[in-house]
Amino acid sequence: MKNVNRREFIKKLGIGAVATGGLLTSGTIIASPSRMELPDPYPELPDGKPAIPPYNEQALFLNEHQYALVATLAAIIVPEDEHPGANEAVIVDDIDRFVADSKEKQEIYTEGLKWMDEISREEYGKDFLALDLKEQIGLLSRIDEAETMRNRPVTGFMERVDRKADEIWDDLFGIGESSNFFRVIHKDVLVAYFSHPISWNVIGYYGPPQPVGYLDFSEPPSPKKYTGAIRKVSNKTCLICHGEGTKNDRGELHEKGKLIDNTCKTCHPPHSPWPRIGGFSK
Amino acid sequence: MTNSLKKVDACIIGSGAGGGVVAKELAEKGMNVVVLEAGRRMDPLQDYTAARPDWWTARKNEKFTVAALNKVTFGTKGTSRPTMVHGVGGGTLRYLAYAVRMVPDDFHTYSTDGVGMDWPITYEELVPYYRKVEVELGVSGKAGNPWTPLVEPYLNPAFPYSYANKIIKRGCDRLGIRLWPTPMARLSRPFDGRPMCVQCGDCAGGCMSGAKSSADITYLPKAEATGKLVIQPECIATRINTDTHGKAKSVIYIDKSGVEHEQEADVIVVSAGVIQSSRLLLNSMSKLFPDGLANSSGLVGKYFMQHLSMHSSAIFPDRIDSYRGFFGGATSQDFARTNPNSPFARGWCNELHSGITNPVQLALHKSNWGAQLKDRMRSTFGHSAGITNVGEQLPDERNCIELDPEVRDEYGIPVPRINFAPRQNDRLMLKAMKKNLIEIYDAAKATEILYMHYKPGGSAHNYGGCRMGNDPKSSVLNSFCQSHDVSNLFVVDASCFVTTGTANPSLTIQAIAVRSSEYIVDQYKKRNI
Ligand SMILES: Cc1cc2nc3c(=O)[nH]c(=O)nc-3n(C[C@H](O)[C@H](O)[C@H](O)COP(=O)(O)OP(=O)(O)OC[C@H]3O[C@@H](n4cnc5c(N)ncnc54)[C@H](O)[C@@H]3O)c2cc1C
Repeated sequence: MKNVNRREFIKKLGIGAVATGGLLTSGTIIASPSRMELPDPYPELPDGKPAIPPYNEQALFLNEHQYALVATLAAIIVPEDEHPGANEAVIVDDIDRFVADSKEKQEIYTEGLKWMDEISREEYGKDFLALDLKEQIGLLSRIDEAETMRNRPVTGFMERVDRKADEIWDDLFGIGESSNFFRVIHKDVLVAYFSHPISWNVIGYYGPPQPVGYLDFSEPPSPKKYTGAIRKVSNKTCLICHGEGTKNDRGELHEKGKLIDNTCKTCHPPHSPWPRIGGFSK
Repeated sequence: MTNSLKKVDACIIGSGAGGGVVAKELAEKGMNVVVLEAGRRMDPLQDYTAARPDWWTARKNEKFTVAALNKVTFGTKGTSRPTMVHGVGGGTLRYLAYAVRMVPDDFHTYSTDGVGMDWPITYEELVPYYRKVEVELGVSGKAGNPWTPLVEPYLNPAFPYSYANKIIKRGCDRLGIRLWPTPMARLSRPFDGRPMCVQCGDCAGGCMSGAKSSADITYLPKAEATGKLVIQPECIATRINTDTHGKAKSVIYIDKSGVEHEQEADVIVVSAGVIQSSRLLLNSMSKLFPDGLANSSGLVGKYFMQHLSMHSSAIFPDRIDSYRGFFGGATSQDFARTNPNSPFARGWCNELHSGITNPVQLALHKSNWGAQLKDRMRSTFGHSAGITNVGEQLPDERNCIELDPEVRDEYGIPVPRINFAPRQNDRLMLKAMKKNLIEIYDAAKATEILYMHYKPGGSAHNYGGCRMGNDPKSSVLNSFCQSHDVSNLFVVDASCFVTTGTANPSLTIQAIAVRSSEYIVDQYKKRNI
């Protein structure tokens, strides 16, 4: 039954109302697809399994097997291509930290990683790490689809019908009761990877908003600005005007180089009620 | 054991948009004031995350919430939790600082359109107070927009449109929709000892630089500097007691170590925000006031309203890098008035914004992974711009805040139960707002709409519950926010709104608060209250 997918199955049941994104369409606007209609995560299979970082002896929570499993999942979720992926940023260490910080996550990860191996043995007779890449991706796709369908909101009648079909599918060929583990790890990997400066160069992001801001916000973006971007913040220039100087309300230019708490006198005059008066001092 | 405190002239409950203004105005006129604030004091450099690589996910709502106030139940299915912000500064800590005036029509929807109710004040009466607030906050704006008559020049120049605004403006221009720079309570140049805004764009996470004119760095420090005022953070007011003559006598509150105090005051001002103000009055029932304090009309908690906010964001073919700069910036009120050809009354404003601006946010937006995710991120990140249509919701008695008969908070106080749904007129307007958004995106040549949604009850723009009016039978407060029933009790926050208009709430809340404060000081000096 593994070669029948959910969509075909639902069609076979004669219901055929796979949820669409539901947005109105008109003119050039294309409705957003739902998960079901998103293209395959891997239109082409990469060659070979991703290299994973060696076990970090200083890991706070994950043991060696768990570490390897998380790193493998992370590399499948955000692979390396012409640009670095999750493993190049050693996202597994961030996840180790997230998990160590939260009792709830510790339970989800311990159970979830165990469950990954169980389901893999059930389907393929081997632990997850022993599967080849195609099998790993295939298994994750099915888990993802099941979790997405299970979690989508049910509003209209057709969606209820749809949901019923899903339940029948799950009963017959489903991948069992999971803990929604894939959703959790998927989210954690994306949060960690896209908070990492490595990813900012991939997509062209200029870094966190503060302290330097974006005074060019009104201009068209210049591609030069973000290739190789991560803006350096020096503690020698004013955090607010970058030492370029701003005029104060009397039209005076501030004196460059004179810094008070990393801001220049004009940007943050000493008589400022901020942040000295008003109780920021505790 | 309740600890009794020395009587003060005025006790203000809540330090947000409304409470912050009253605090300063009363203290500067020499009154002794205590402000009780349930939330913490924020330390911008410690508490706000905008300088961290993981700023988006590190930004935690819990910092701005107090558990005992955050617990609400719902009487209507499908209602979302209204956004409440707790902290010294209230909602202004996280607001986007749009400082827009309501338009004259908004104050008499009944006379012009036969819907809602007329306010007991007019736009013209509020103008000098609007002005005072705009000066105090250093609003950056451009006078003379097509919808609000006769605005004097703002003190600080308007910000230019962001590049994201300009992309959508092309569509608006094609459709003949007029835009105007949104007036902002954010500094376009150094002002009043505060720095200019560097366009970091994370107003909603809390302003690290002090360029956003939130109450905690404008009104409240000035109030504290008078030496007449004490702010008590992390203190939750649970009840207002009255004396035998039916006047408000004291406020009972619980401090952070759980100790109960009683603060006596000559004047009591409730500025706890829409949901908590009504809750507090209803919870202050007594023999004299069996249905709750100030509730002889039976209308406390009634006519709860929210802006009908239809949020949306789209993807455009060219790179915009819309994460640069402030989120909003351009507004149109072309659709704010009743259109005789529409099947509904009143209308909405369009607020142009930057759409999805953080990589994490975009990546999580569609549960995508693998090679597909990377391709999509490379081709869509930095390409988004968006519009929120903010619609006027008509007052409806069925939309209300009441006490939950069973559920209590951790101190044993009944929690608010929210009954809220968009009604007939609202639903028709929501439909039209959606159509309007699609037309603009089409005209601006968007390639994909990322999202377009309205969450009933989930808005941050809450109104009503203690509406003002001239008739004590059909309103809770008079035009000075004074209770019709209890002369030394005032409710000064968004609860007093009669209708919502389409402008963002804070500037109007603050203008009304200045006007009420003037009245309080005057009446207090004359010993009328
Ligand atoms: C993300 C966001 C963006 C926004 N953007 C804008 C914008 O751009 N422009 C605009 O005009 N508005 C904006 N708003 C809305 C605006 O913040 C609110 O409308 C406004 O702050 C409401 O003012 P208020 O005086 O009614 O109450 P609040 O500002 O909410 O203040 C109420 C205060 O009372 C305290 N309190 C409540 N109960 C108790 C109690 N029992 N005891 C003691 N203290 C109590 C609360 O902790 C809170 O601090 C935004 C809101 C949010 C959340």
